[in-house]
Amino acid sequence: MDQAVEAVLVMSAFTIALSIVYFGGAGLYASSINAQLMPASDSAASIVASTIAIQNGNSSQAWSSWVPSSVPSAYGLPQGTAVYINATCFTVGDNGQLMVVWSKATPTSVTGAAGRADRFIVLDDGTALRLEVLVR
Amino acid sequence: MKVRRLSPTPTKDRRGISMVYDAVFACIILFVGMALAASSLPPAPPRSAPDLQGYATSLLVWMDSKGVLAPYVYTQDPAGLASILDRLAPAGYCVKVYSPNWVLLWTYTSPSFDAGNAAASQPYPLSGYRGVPDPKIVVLLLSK
Repeated sequence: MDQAVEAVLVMSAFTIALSIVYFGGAGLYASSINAQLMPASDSAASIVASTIAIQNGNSSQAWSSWVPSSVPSAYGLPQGTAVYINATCFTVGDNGQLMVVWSKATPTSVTGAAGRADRFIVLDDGTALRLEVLVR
Repeated sequence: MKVRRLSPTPTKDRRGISMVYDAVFACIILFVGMALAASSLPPAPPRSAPDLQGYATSLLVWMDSKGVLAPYVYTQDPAGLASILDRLAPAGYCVKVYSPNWVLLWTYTSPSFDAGNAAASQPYPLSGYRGVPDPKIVVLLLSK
């Protein structure tokens, strides 16, 4: 009876250790693959940011009427790609404080590790635009 | 004649201890194997940040055009710079102020700045402040 209990305990301990190694290894492998693919995601985000910047240029009117789209095919990205766009227009007040003129973002969100691209565009009315694109 | 057992421990206890040794040995093999596999994984490549150089230069030009760069640089007010750069910089940033002969005068680094994934702006010259000629060079580093 004692020997049976010992066998169960030892087997349980070994199974726990095996699970830790199995899931830990899978996590390490997944994070390594993600890290290797991150430059490609950065490039995809850069394509999206450049496409938007070329479409609107530095025209404050064009940016005001622009509606951010999270549809990946609009930027030549494959279906299933998650795209998050956040654009904020800033100006500086008379007291030297930074003020937000307007802000637009896609309703979708990108969680976890994602490719990222940022643009800072000075518009023709003296305001400046911060464009942030996340792609996963 | 009574035969005395030479072994101090019963056989079934020895068998149980042997199983524990086996399990411990197997776990050691598992963890060593995992450590070897983890060490053989390729390191993460540095993230490219070519767009950040233009971002940083444009940011300095715009801040100077709005009159919010020189006051903070000449009064050595990192908190004032941080109040603007915290909202305009993509992530971490580092501001370096040099004399015209490239002697570092002062620097401010945000807590989230990652020097391994950073790009620097073009050197941005400032001629002076409030009519007093005092040339300085500002370099802004941004990281993802």
